[in-house]
Amino acid sequence: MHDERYLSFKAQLENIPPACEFVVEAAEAAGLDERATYHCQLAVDETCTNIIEHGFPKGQHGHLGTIDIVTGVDDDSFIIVISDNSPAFNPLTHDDPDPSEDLANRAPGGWGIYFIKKLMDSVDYRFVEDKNQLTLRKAIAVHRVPVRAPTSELTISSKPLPKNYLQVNLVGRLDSQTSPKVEQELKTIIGEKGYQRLIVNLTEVDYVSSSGLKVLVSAWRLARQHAGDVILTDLQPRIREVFEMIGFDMMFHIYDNPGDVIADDPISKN
Amino acid sequence: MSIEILSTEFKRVQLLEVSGRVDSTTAGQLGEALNNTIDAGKSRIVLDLSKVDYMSSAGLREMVSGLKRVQGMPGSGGDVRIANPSERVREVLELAGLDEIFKIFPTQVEAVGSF
Repeated sequence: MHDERYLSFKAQLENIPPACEFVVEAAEAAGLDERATYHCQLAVDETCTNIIEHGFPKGQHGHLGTIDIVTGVDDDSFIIVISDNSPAFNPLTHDDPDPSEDLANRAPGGWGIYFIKKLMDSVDYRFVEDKNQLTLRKAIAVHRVPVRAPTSELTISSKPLPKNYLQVNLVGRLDSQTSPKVEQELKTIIGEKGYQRLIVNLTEVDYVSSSGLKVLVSAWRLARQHAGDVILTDLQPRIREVFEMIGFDMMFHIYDNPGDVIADDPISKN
Repeated sequence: MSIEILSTEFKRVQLLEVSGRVDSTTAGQLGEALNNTIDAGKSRIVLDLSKVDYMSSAGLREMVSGLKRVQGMPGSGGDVRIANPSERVREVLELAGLDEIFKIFPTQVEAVGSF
Protein backbone atom coordinates (compact mmCIF):
# COMPACT_ATOMS: atom_id res chain seq x y z
CA MET A 1 0.00 0.00 0.00
CA HIS A 2 1.36 3.46 -0.84
CA ASP A 3 0.41 7.07 -0.06
CA GLU A 4 -0.35 5.99 3.49
CA ARG A 5 -1.91 8.47 5.89
CA TYR A 6 -2.60 7.93 9.58
CA LEU A 7 -5.06 9.33 12.08
CA SER A 8 -5.57 8.30 15.69
CA PHE A 9 -8.26 9.73 17.93
CA LYS A 10 -10.20 9.11 21.13
CA ALA A 11 -13.41 7.19 20.70
CA GLN A 12 -15.76 10.14 21.11
CA LEU A 13 -18.48 11.24 18.72
CA GLU A 14 -17.17 14.80 18.40
CA ASN A 15 -13.99 13.39 16.83
CA ILE A 16 -15.87 11.84 13.92
CA PRO A 17 -16.35 14.95 11.73
CA PRO A 18 -12.59 15.72 11.72
CA ALA A 19 -11.94 12.03 10.94
CA CYS A 20 -14.37 12.33 8.01
CA GLU A 21 -12.46 15.40 6.83
CA PHE A 22 -9.22 13.41 6.97
CA VAL A 23 -10.73 10.63 4.86
CA VAL A 24 -12.23 13.07 2.33
CA GLU A 25 -8.82 14.64 1.74
CA ALA A 26 -7.17 11.25 1.32
CA ALA A 27 -9.90 9.99 -1.04
CA GLU A 28 -9.66 13.11 -3.19
CA ALA A 29 -5.88 12.83 -3.30
CA ALA A 30 -6.29 9.21 -4.44
CA GLY A 31 -8.36 10.46 -7.37
CA LEU A 32 -11.84 9.36 -6.34
CA ASP A 33 -14.72 11.41 -7.71
CA GLU A 34 -17.09 13.43 -5.54
CA ARG A 35 -19.69 10.67 -5.16
CA ALA A 36 -17.18 7.93 -4.26
CA THR A 37 -15.52 10.31 -1.81
CA TYR A 38 -18.89 10.92 -0.18
CA HIS A 39 -19.40 7.16 0.09
CA CYS A 40 -16.03 6.74 1.82
CA GLN A 41 -16.87 9.54 4.24
CA LEU A 42 -20.23 7.95 5.05
CA ALA A 43 -18.72 4.47 5.52
CA VAL A 44 -16.08 5.82 7.92
CA ASP A 45 -18.69 7.86 9.80
CA GLU A 46 -20.98 4.84 10.20
CA THR A 47 -18.11 2.57 11.26
CA CYS A 48 -16.80 4.99 13.89
CA THR A 49 -20.29 5.81 15.17
CA ASN A 50 -20.97 2.10 15.69
CA ILE A 51 -17.66 1.57 17.46
CA ILE A 52 -18.27 4.50 19.79
CA GLU A 53 -21.95 3.79 20.50
CA HIS A 54 -21.74 0.01 20.83
CA GLY A 55 -18.08 -0.85 21.41
CA PHE A 56 -17.49 1.66 24.17
CA PRO A 57 -20.81 2.02 25.99
CA LYS A 58 -21.18 5.18 28.03
CA GLY A 59 -19.39 5.11 31.34
CA GLN A 60 -17.38 2.02 30.47
CA HIS A 61 -13.71 2.34 29.53
CA GLY A 62 -14.71 5.16 27.21
CA HIS A 63 -11.54 6.97 28.17
CA LEU A 64 -9.50 4.00 26.98
CA GLY A 65 -11.12 3.84 23.58
CA THR A 66 -8.95 4.73 20.63
CA ILE A 67 -9.72 4.52 16.93
CA ASP A 68 -6.94 4.39 14.35
CA ILE A 69 -7.48 5.05 10.68
CA VAL A 70 -4.96 4.25 7.97
CA THR A 71 -5.69 5.15 4.36
CA GLY A 72 -3.71 4.26 1.28
CA VAL A 73 -3.77 3.13 -2.31
CA ASP A 74 -3.25 -0.47 -3.38
CA ASP A 75 -3.98 -2.33 -6.62
CA ASP A 76 -5.89 0.67 -7.95
CA SER A 77 -8.16 0.72 -4.90
CA PHE A 78 -8.50 3.30 -2.17
CA ILE A 79 -8.12 1.45 1.13
CA ILE A 80 -9.33 2.54 4.56
CA VAL A 81 -8.35 0.45 7.58
CA ILE A 82 -10.19 1.29 10.79
CA SER A 83 -8.93 -0.30 14.03
CA ASP A 84 -10.26 0.00 17.57
CA ASN A 85 -9.61 -1.59 20.95
CA SER A 86 -13.21 -2.30 21.94
CA PRO A 87 -14.26 -5.93 22.63
CA ALA A 88 -14.09 -8.21 19.58
CA PHE A 89 -17.11 -7.72 17.35
CA ASN A 90 -17.51 -8.66 13.70
CA PRO A 91 -20.05 -6.24 12.22
CA LEU A 92 -20.29 -8.32 9.05
CA THR A 93 -22.14 -11.09 10.89
CA HIS A 94 -24.88 -8.63 11.80
CA ASP A 95 -28.17 -9.28 9.95
CA ASP A 96 -28.96 -6.78 7.21
CA PRO A 97 -32.11 -4.71 7.62
CA ASP A 98 -34.62 -4.94 4.77
CA PRO A 99 -35.04 -1.71 2.76
CA SER A 100 -38.42 -2.90 1.49
CA GLU A 101 -39.82 -3.23 5.02
CA ASP A 102 -42.83 -1.01 5.67
CA LEU A 103 -42.79 1.67 8.32
CA ALA A 104 -44.72 -0.29 10.94
CA ASN A 105 -42.27 -3.20 10.83
CA ARG A 106 -38.99 -1.38 10.61
CA ALA A 107 -36.73 -0.21 13.39
CA PRO A 108 -35.70 3.42 12.96
CA GLY A 109 -31.99 2.61 13.15
CA GLY A 110 -29.62 -0.22 12.32
CA TRP A 111 -28.62 0.99 8.86
CA GLY A 112 -25.00 1.84 9.52
CA ILE A 113 -23.39 -1.52 8.74
CA TYR A 114 -25.70 -2.07 5.78
CA PHE A 115 -24.58 1.28 4.33
CA ILE A 116 -20.91 0.38 4.77
CA LYS A 117 -21.40 -2.90 2.89
CA LYS A 118 -23.43 -1.28 0.12
CA LEU A 119 -21.21 1.76 -0.38
CA MET A 120 -17.83 0.01 -0.45
CA ASP A 121 -16.59 -2.39 -3.10
CA SER A 122 -15.40 -4.75 -0.40
CA VAL A 123 -15.39 -4.88 3.40
CA ASP A 124 -13.22 -7.22 5.40
CA TYR A 125 -13.13 -7.82 9.17
CA ARG A 126 -10.28 -9.25 11.19
CA PHE A 127 -9.41 -9.36 14.89
CA VAL A 128 -5.69 -8.68 15.05
CA GLU A 129 -3.53 -8.09 18.11
CA ASP A 130 -6.52 -7.48 20.37
CA LYS A 131 -8.03 -5.00 17.94
CA ASN A 132 -11.03 -4.98 15.67
CA GLN A 133 -9.83 -4.18 12.18
CA LEU A 134 -12.22 -3.29 9.39
CA THR A 135 -10.74 -2.84 5.91
CA LEU A 136 -12.81 -0.89 3.41
CA ARG A 137 -11.93 -0.85 -0.28
CA LYS A 138 -13.22 1.46 -3.02
CA ALA A 139 -12.01 0.85 -6.59
CA ILE A 140 -10.40 3.97 -7.99
CA ALA A 141 -10.68 3.09 -11.70
CA VAL A 142 -14.48 2.95 -11.57
CA HIS A 143 -14.92 6.10 -9.55
CA ARG A 144 -12.07 8.22 -10.87
CA VAL A 145 -12.46 11.93 -11.45
CA PRO A 146 -12.62 12.31 -15.23
CA VAL A 147 -9.47 13.89 -16.59
CA ARG A 148 -10.39 16.92 -18.64
CA ALA A 149 -8.23 18.32 -21.36
CA PRO A 150 -6.65 21.49 -20.02
CA THR A 151 -8.59 24.47 -21.23
CA SER A 152 -6.56 27.09 -22.97
CA GLU A 153 -6.59 30.58 -21.68
CA LEU A 154 -5.29 33.72 -23.18
CA THR A 155 -5.66 37.27 -22.01
CA ILE A 156 -5.20 40.39 -24.07
CA SER A 157 -4.35 43.85 -22.81
CA SER A 158 -3.06 46.92 -24.56
CA LYS A 159 -1.49 50.31 -23.85
CA PRO A 160 -0.68 53.26 -26.12
CA LEU A 161 2.99 54.09 -26.64
CA PRO A 162 4.66 57.18 -28.21
CA LYS A 163 4.67 57.74 -32.00
CA ASN A 164 1.13 56.30 -32.36
CA TYR A 165 2.19 52.79 -31.45
CA LEU A 166 -0.06 50.51 -29.45
CA GLN A 167 1.46 47.74 -27.36
CA VAL A 168 -0.72 44.59 -27.29
CA ASN A 169 0.20 42.06 -24.61
CA LEU A 170 -0.82 38.46 -25.10
CA VAL A 171 -0.55 36.11 -22.10
CA GLY A 172 -1.12 32.38 -22.41
CA ARG A 173 -1.53 29.96 -25.30
CA LEU A 174 -2.30 31.14 -28.81
CA ASP A 175 -4.02 28.08 -30.27
CA SER A 176 -7.23 27.04 -32.01
CA GLN A 177 -9.25 27.67 -28.85
CA THR A 178 -7.96 31.16 -28.18
CA SER A 179 -7.21 32.39 -31.72
CA PRO A 180 -10.75 33.54 -32.64
CA LYS A 181 -10.79 35.86 -29.64
CA VAL A 182 -7.40 37.33 -30.56
CA GLU A 183 -8.39 37.72 -34.20
CA GLN A 184 -11.54 39.60 -33.24
CA GLU A 185 -9.70 41.83 -30.80
CA LEU A 186 -6.92 42.72 -33.29
CA LYS A 187 -9.49 43.50 -36.00
CA THR A 188 -11.31 45.83 -33.62
CA ILE A 189 -8.08 47.57 -32.64
CA ILE A 190 -6.99 48.12 -36.24
CA GLY A 191 -10.34 48.62 -37.92
CA GLU A 192 -12.42 50.45 -35.34
CA LYS A 193 -10.07 51.92 -32.74
CA GLY A 194 -7.81 53.24 -35.46
CA TYR A 195 -4.46 51.92 -34.27
CA GLN A 196 -2.39 50.68 -37.19
CA ARG A 197 0.99 50.50 -35.51
CA LEU A 198 0.80 47.42 -33.31
CA ILE A 199 3.54 46.00 -31.16
CA VAL A 200 2.45 42.50 -30.21
CA ASN A 201 4.35 41.53 -27.10
CA LEU A 202 4.72 37.76 -26.80
CA THR A 203 6.81 37.53 -23.58
CA GLU A 204 4.20 35.45 -21.87
CA VAL A 205 3.01 33.40 -24.81
CA ASP A 206 4.38 29.91 -24.38
CA TYR A 207 2.69 28.23 -27.32
CA VAL A 208 1.61 29.32 -30.81
CA SER A 209 -0.22 26.85 -33.04
CA SER A 210 -0.84 27.18 -36.79
CA SER A 211 -4.17 28.90 -36.15
CA GLY A 212 -2.32 31.38 -33.95
CA LEU A 213 0.14 32.05 -36.77
CA LYS A 214 -2.75 32.67 -39.17
CA VAL A 215 -4.22 35.26 -36.82
CA LEU A 216 -0.91 37.14 -36.66
CA VAL A 217 -0.61 37.09 -40.45
CA SER A 218 -4.13 38.39 -41.06
CA ALA A 219 -3.60 41.18 -38.52
CA TRP A 220 -0.31 42.02 -40.25
CA ARG A 221 -2.10 42.21 -43.65
CA LEU A 222 -4.87 44.38 -42.29
CA ALA A 223 -2.44 46.78 -40.62
CA ARG A 224 -0.36 46.98 -43.80
CA GLN A 225 -3.47 47.89 -45.81
CA HIS A 226 -3.81 50.87 -43.45
CA ALA A 227 -0.17 51.88 -43.87
CA GLY A 228 0.65 50.38 -40.49
CA ASP A 229 2.39 47.24 -39.31
CA VAL A 230 2.32 44.44 -36.76
CA ILE A 231 5.65 44.15 -35.02
CA LEU A 232 6.47 41.26 -32.71
CA THR A 233 8.58 41.54 -29.54
CA ASP A 234 9.94 39.38 -26.73
CA LEU A 235 9.56 35.98 -28.35
CA GLN A 236 10.40 32.99 -26.19
CA PRO A 237 13.30 31.03 -27.74
CA ARG A 238 11.13 28.06 -28.68
CA ILE A 239 8.64 30.29 -30.48
CA ARG A 240 11.33 32.30 -32.22
CA GLU A 241 12.67 28.98 -33.53
CA VAL A 242 9.30 28.08 -35.02
CA PHE A 243 8.89 31.56 -36.55
CA GLU A 244 12.32 31.35 -38.19
CA MET A 245 11.61 27.85 -39.48
CA ILE A 246 8.52 29.00 -41.35
CA GLY A 247 10.10 32.24 -42.53
CA PHE A 248 8.07 34.55 -40.31
CA ASP A 249 11.22 36.48 -39.50
CA MET A 250 11.33 37.54 -43.15
CA MET A 251 7.82 38.90 -42.95
CA PHE A 252 7.54 40.45 -39.50
CA HIS A 253 9.76 42.97 -37.82
CA ILE A 254 10.84 41.17 -34.67
CA TYR A 255 12.41 43.11 -31.78
CA ASP A 256 13.66 42.22 -28.32
CA ASN A 257 11.30 44.61 -26.59
CA PRO A 258 8.79 47.41 -27.31
CA GLY A 259 11.28 50.10 -26.26
CA ASP A 260 13.60 49.11 -29.13
CA VAL A 261 10.70 49.42 -31.57
CA ILE A 262 9.89 52.97 -30.49
CA ALA A 263 13.57 53.96 -30.67
CA ASP A 264 13.99 52.43 -34.13
CA ASP A 265 10.49 53.40 -35.38
CA PRO A 266 10.58 51.03 -38.40
CA ILE A 267 7.12 52.00 -39.66
CA SER A 268 8.09 55.57 -40.46
CA LYS A 269 10.90 54.03 -42.51
CA ASN A 270 8.54 51.63 -44.34
CA MET B 1 -20.34 20.99 14.74
CA SER B 2 -23.96 21.91 14.74
CA ILE B 3 -26.91 22.11 12.46
CA GLU B 4 -29.46 24.85 12.16
CA ILE B 5 -33.16 24.23 12.08
CA LEU B 6 -35.51 27.04 11.16
CA SER B 7 -39.10 26.29 12.10
CA THR B 8 -41.93 28.14 10.34
CA GLU B 9 -45.61 27.72 11.07
CA PHE B 10 -48.00 27.60 8.14
CA LYS B 11 -51.76 27.35 8.47
CA ARG B 12 -51.84 23.58 8.31
CA VAL B 13 -48.19 22.62 8.12
CA GLN B 14 -45.04 23.08 10.13
CA LEU B 15 -41.96 23.65 7.99
CA LEU B 16 -38.56 22.65 9.33
CA GLU B 17 -35.66 23.91 7.24
CA VAL B 18 -32.52 22.02 8.18
CA SER B 19 -29.05 23.15 7.22
CA GLY B 20 -25.63 21.66 7.82
CA ARG B 21 -24.20 18.24 8.44
CA VAL B 22 -26.59 15.72 9.99
CA ASP B 23 -24.49 12.94 11.55
CA SER B 24 -24.22 11.13 14.87
CA THR B 25 -23.06 14.32 16.61
CA THR B 26 -25.94 16.47 15.36
CA ALA B 27 -28.84 14.09 14.65
CA GLY B 28 -30.05 14.58 18.23
CA GLN B 29 -30.89 18.20 17.38
CA LEU B 30 -33.02 17.06 14.46
CA GLY B 31 -34.80 14.53 16.68
CA GLU B 32 -35.41 17.20 19.29
CA ALA B 33 -36.86 19.63 16.74
CA LEU B 34 -39.19 16.93 15.40
CA ASN B 35 -40.27 15.91 18.90
CA ASN B 36 -40.90 19.51 19.99
CA THR B 37 -43.04 20.06 16.91
CA ILE B 38 -45.02 16.88 17.48
CA ASP B 39 -45.36 17.60 21.21
CA ALA B 40 -46.92 20.95 20.28
CA GLY B 41 -49.65 18.99 18.49
CA LYS B 42 -48.37 19.58 14.99
CA SER B 43 -48.31 16.40 12.98
CA ARG B 44 -48.11 17.70 9.40
CA ILE B 45 -44.41 18.38 8.95
CA VAL B 46 -42.27 19.30 5.97
CA LEU B 47 -38.53 18.74 6.29
CA ASP B 48 -36.69 20.95 3.82
CA LEU B 49 -33.33 19.25 3.32
CA SER B 50 -32.02 21.45 0.52
CA LYS B 51 -29.26 22.82 2.75
CA VAL B 52 -28.22 19.49 4.20
CA ASP B 53 -24.96 18.60 2.51
CA TYR B 54 -24.38 15.40 4.42
CA MET B 55 -26.61 12.89 6.19
CA SER B 56 -25.66 9.62 7.86
CA SER B 57 -27.94 6.86 9.14
CA ALA B 58 -28.14 8.70 12.48
CA GLY B 59 -30.20 11.40 10.73
CA LEU B 60 -32.40 8.86 8.97
CA ARG B 61 -33.09 7.23 12.34
CA GLU B 62 -34.50 10.49 13.71
CA MET B 63 -36.62 11.08 10.62
CA VAL B 64 -38.10 7.57 10.77
CA SER B 65 -38.80 7.94 14.50
CA GLY B 66 -40.59 11.22 13.81
CA LEU B 67 -42.60 9.68 10.99
CA LYS B 68 -43.60 6.75 13.19
CA ARG B 69 -44.80 9.17 15.87
CA VAL B 70 -47.00 11.32 13.61
CA GLN B 71 -48.46 8.38 11.74
CA GLY B 72 -49.30 6.79 15.07
CA MET B 73 -51.45 9.77 16.05
CA PRO B 74 -54.98 8.67 15.18
CA GLY B 75 -57.03 10.77 12.75
CA SER B 76 -54.53 13.64 12.54
CA GLY B 77 -53.57 13.11 8.90
CA GLY B 78 -50.05 13.44 10.19
CA ASP B 79 -47.07 12.92 7.92
CA VAL B 80 -43.45 13.94 7.57
CA ARG B 81 -42.68 14.93 4.00
CA ILE B 82 -39.31 15.78 2.50
CA ALA B 83 -38.50 18.72 0.24
CA ASN B 84 -35.55 19.04 -2.11
CA PRO B 85 -32.93 16.59 -0.82
CA SER B 86 -29.52 16.85 -2.48
CA GLU B 87 -28.47 14.08 -4.84
CA ARG B 88 -26.25 12.52 -2.16
CA VAL B 89 -28.94 12.65 0.55
CA ARG B 90 -31.47 11.17 -1.86
CA GLU B 91 -29.08 8.32 -2.59
CA VAL B 92 -28.86 7.52 1.13
CA LEU B 93 -32.67 7.65 1.45
CA GLU B 94 -32.96 5.23 -1.46
CA LEU B 95 -30.34 2.89 -0.02
CA ALA B 96 -32.46 2.48 3.11
CA GLY B 97 -35.65 2.16 1.05
CA LEU B 98 -36.94 5.39 2.56
CA ASP B 99 -37.86 6.87 -0.82
CA GLU B 100 -40.80 4.46 -0.68
CA ILE B 101 -41.76 5.48 2.83
CA PHE B 102 -41.35 9.24 2.78
CA LYS B 103 -43.10 11.40 0.23
CA ILE B 104 -40.35 13.43 -1.42
CA PHE B 105 -40.98 16.67 -3.33
CA PRO B 106 -38.62 18.63 -5.55
CA THR B 107 -39.49 21.96 -3.91
CA GLN B 108 -40.55 23.31 -0.54
CA VAL B 109 -43.68 24.88 -2.07
CA GLU B 110 -44.84 21.56 -3.50
CA ALA B 111 -44.17 19.75 -0.22
CA VAL B 112 -46.08 22.33 1.84
CA GLY B 113 -48.90 22.44 -0.72
CA SER B 114 -49.21 18.65 -0.73
CA PHE B 115 -51.04 18.58 2.61
